[in-house]
Amino acid sequence: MQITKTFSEKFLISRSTLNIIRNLKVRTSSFIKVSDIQAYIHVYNGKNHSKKKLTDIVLKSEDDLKNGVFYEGDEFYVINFFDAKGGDIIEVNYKETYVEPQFFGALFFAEYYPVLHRSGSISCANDIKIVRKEFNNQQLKFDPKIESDKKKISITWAFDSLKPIVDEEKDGSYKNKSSYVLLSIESYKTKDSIKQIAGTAKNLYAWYSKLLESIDVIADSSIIKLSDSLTVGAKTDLDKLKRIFYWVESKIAYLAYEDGLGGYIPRESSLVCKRKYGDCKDMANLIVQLCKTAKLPVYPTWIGTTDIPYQFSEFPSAFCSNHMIATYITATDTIFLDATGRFYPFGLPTSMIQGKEGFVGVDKNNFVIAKVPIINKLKNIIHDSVVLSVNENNDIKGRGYYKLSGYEKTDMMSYFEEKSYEWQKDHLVKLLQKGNNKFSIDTFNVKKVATEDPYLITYTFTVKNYVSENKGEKYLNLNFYKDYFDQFFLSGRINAFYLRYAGRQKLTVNFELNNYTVKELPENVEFRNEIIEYKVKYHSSKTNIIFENTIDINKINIQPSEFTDLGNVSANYKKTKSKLVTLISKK
Amino acid sequence: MKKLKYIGTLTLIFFVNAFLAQSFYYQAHNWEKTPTVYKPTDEQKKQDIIIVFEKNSYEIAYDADGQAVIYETMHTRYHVNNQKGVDEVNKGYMSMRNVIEEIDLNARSISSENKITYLNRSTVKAVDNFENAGAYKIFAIDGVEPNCDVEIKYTNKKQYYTYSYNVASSNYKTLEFETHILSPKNLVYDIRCYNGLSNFIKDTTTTDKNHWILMQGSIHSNKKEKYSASKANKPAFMFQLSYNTDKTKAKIYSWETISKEYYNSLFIEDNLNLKSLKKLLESNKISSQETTEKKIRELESYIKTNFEISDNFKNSDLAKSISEKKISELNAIRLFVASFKIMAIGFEIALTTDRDQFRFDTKMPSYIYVNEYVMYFAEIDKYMSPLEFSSRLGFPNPYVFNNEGLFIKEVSIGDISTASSKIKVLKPLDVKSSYHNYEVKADVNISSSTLQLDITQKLAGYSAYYLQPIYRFLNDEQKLESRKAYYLSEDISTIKNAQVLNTDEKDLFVNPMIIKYSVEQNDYLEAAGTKYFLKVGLLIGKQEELYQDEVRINPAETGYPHYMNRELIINIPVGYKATNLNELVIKKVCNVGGAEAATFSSSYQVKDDKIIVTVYEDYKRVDYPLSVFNEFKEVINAAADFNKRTIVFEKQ
Repeated sequence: MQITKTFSEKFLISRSTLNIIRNLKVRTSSFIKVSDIQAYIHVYNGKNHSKKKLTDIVLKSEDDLKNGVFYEGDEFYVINFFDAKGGDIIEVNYKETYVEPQFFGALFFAEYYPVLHRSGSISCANDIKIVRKEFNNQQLKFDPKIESDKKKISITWAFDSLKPIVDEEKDGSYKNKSSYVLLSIESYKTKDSIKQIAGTAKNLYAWYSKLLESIDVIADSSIIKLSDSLTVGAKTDLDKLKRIFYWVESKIAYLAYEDGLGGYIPRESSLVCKRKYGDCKDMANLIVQLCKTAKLPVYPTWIGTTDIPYQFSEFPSAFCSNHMIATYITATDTIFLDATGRFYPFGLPTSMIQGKEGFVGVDKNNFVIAKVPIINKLKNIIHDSVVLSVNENNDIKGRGYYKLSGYEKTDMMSYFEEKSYEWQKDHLVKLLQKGNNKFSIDTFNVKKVATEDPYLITYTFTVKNYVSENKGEKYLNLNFYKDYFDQFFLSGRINAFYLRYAGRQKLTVNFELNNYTVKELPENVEFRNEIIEYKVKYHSSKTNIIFENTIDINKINIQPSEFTDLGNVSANYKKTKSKLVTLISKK
Repeated sequence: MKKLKYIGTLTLIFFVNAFLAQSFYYQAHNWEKTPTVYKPTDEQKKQDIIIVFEKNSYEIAYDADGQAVIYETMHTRYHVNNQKGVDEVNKGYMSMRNVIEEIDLNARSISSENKITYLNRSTVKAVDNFENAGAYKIFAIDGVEPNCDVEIKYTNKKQYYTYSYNVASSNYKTLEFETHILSPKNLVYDIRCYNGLSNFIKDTTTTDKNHWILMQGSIHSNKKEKYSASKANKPAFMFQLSYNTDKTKAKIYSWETISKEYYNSLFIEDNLNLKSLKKLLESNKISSQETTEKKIRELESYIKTNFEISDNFKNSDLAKSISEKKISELNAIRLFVASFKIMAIGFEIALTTDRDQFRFDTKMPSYIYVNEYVMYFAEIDKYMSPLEFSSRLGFPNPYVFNNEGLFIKEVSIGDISTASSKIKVLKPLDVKSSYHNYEVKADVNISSSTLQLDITQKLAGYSAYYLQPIYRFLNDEQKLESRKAYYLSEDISTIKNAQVLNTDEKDLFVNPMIIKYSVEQNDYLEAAGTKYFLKVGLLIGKQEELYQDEVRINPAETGYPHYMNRELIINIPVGYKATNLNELVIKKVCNVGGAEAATFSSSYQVKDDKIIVTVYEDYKRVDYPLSVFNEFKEVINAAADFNKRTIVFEKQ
């Protein structure tokens, strides 16, 4: 069986793209090899186009660190057309040969630029079984044309005038926004049998299983020794598991070499230990091997991040996965172990795999599909709690306790930990800003806490001249979350919001009245719907005002049909955020 | 900013010399056989990484075929304090740019128990284009963990280059910095050190070759301070071949020789080209303009909007470039030069640097310091950046100012023409030339707690430099994105009737760019019972506070002299009175040498039912010495202070 994809594309160069696009790149790899590449420029003279062959095509290895991979071994045919001008058309034709059938195939229709016409078709012999699934995020009219005779079948999808895909803040990936067809070869007939390839969970696992069959065949003595040293004295299986997980998470740096099969087969666990670095597969396999020695039921698991909007149960294929973890499974517990998230506590899956199905390889022939839960909003909390008072210059001085848990904690730690004091201070000034641009952090301290405990930063601060004064009365706004809803501007918004996690953000202000008494407090307000909710509450005593603002994100995927509800909360909040507290001096 | 361009041919870089069996410095420079891990002090442990040493060498030598080459050795030892440090140095990168031969590449980690793990060669990968920075070899280093050392050492034989500018500081503190420059006896180098780097010393004990050594105890990590140059303030050294005593006793580079090279490349034109160019100037009504200034403007507009200027195009024949409208940078300058000559417009070419990258060094004639092209017209006392698309006559790239430059002009005696050059200062433009002014009409609506704002902003000169010239070429989405920076509202749905005026070619740097819009703001009015607080300070746009907690190292620098005048007209709501207007008065001044160099001044007056607030701020200089930094900071921060000012409206 041979799988070849023929690709032909024509680009019309508009004046506005001229200075940006001067070349096109066609990726070739050891699994999908590009051949017969030809390119032409159709030169426009104001009336007609005349075709001219482009000869400046070079094969270059290129690499960048954008997706966190250190080396991918990517090679590109770079087609240069420096002489092109507005109105010219660039034509590119080539073939892709699928050396590994598991990577076949997908037809994507949308681009980040307008597409006048796009069609894709698949044709094959009748005895080849193809499975397909259409994803229509752009509400296109899917009307595949199916033609068949005794020997062959072909299916064609064609579209005209496709609008460009756009990127917006907090939106989904290309695959969440575009329309496409996923294809897979389930089986084909040979003279005397039916050969299974892909397209079913069973076929997929046969391939996954093969990838792992030649690594860590015999337990390495260094792994046995390490596993023993980590688990000695541990009373329960969970305790053992925790120790192994934390060792891999903290001792193995994430560094990915993903060239060729190295992108799919983990390295030997002993090598990863010696090197002190590895990618997700290497870390997952190391956990599996250490646990195997400790007789813990932990298995290699293939999984896709939330960038991939489909699950193994919908379309079982290699496309569903771009990540690997380990999974602990017993009759009562399923624990997902992703050691690539450096500051993650044991048991909390990385945010990028929430809601995704893991394909767990139990043994050579058996697998299970297990779903990672979406973590409850009350596990992901930011609580900024401050005690403050006003001085005679109308400056606010206070001390704060900034406490984070769940994904709020891991996110904060991943960019805040191990940074210089100056960097941290600058960052905190922006993060904890209260009132106005005269907010300054005077001192701060990051409390050393256990990985499972909330992260705590204590700080003291000043906001100069924050309080307004007029005729012996003082006025101040205690709601320091004035801009919270600015992240949900809906004007002209096209795409759904894909938030990384649900969560709560809470502000508690304990205002010490000292020489003042309260003349007037704003009213308490609350508003709630399925997407988002907030509660603003004031309470005063003789000595203090307690202000609380609690905002909850209930839903992580907010579709355009829900924008009205989202807008209502935001509009309602605007009315309440500018209310001031009035104080008068004690007599 | 334009990259360094090499123009003309330098015959002196080729050497014909007998190749002898040679020993090279790098061969004797080995790493320790049994290294011990560095023990950091408690203070050093606070950093992710400490550079224990950096020892580099550049050895110029003759190859077997008599060509000069350079053996470059880079040798660095890092001490890693934490996991963040591990992530930084458990991988290495070696540029393969201009490498003729890779001599060796070594790396190792030294654990806290002094266990050595050497480079695993299977991790070394060649990439033709790494991170869009050209060819690299990249590799991973095994065994890197907190508290270990990482050592990387490599030597490459590279194509000869005559000069090089090297920054000595990095993102980490360096404890020991050492550089060796070696050359055959006949090749003598000039070396300059900048920004606190020690000078090189000639090693007189080496007799068979020249050997210059720089040793410095400690170099601070790079610290970017706000309002300061980025690269130009970093410790750096520059070396350049000054003599080839086998050939001549004369110094290779002088400002005269450099001027001549540029003159020959740019000023001398084929008669045929001149003829076709003359036609072009006539047919496009350039040479027929009334005044010198109009001719220059017309020509500049014509070339910048009709030609595509890029070094992707070859330096082909000028006539061909003209007909195809695709032109290399060098040919674009030639096109300007020839046109001015045809129209008998007097000009000088001023060559300098981007002062943010490195400053022009009058004492070191070098092509490194002449990588920015500017044209100067004495008759109208104006400069032009021929290659900057955003620039037009009178407003060259702002970073060429406050710097010195090599000015080249043609002098003719009879039929013979030649280059005449002089080092001169490119003085910054007057403060009045660039401004960003606001006129804000604010209608306070108590019943809806909103503020209706009508805003007109006028931007001129460099304040419009980054938007006015390109605005007409942006698509709608880009236009909206660019306008956002000028909006007094984060929520674009509240912006109405947005207009951007004066962005046609004829307007550029002649008429101010105007941005007008209306907005209903509900963030600027706060309520406490029956009193309302107008955050009038925010009507000048959010201003950033300049903090300087640590001792300031660098003098302050602004991009260009400029001013901002804001007039805020606020109606007093019917039935209300404004009570605390005196708070609006602020005055801060920074003096340099007895003259006012920067000012912030805000004041108000009440006319009928309106409060008129005037907020003026200016920066008359580009540079502000360290001695006045605090005053400079006070002026900057006065704007941030004004941001917090409120007007209280209470019932009459």
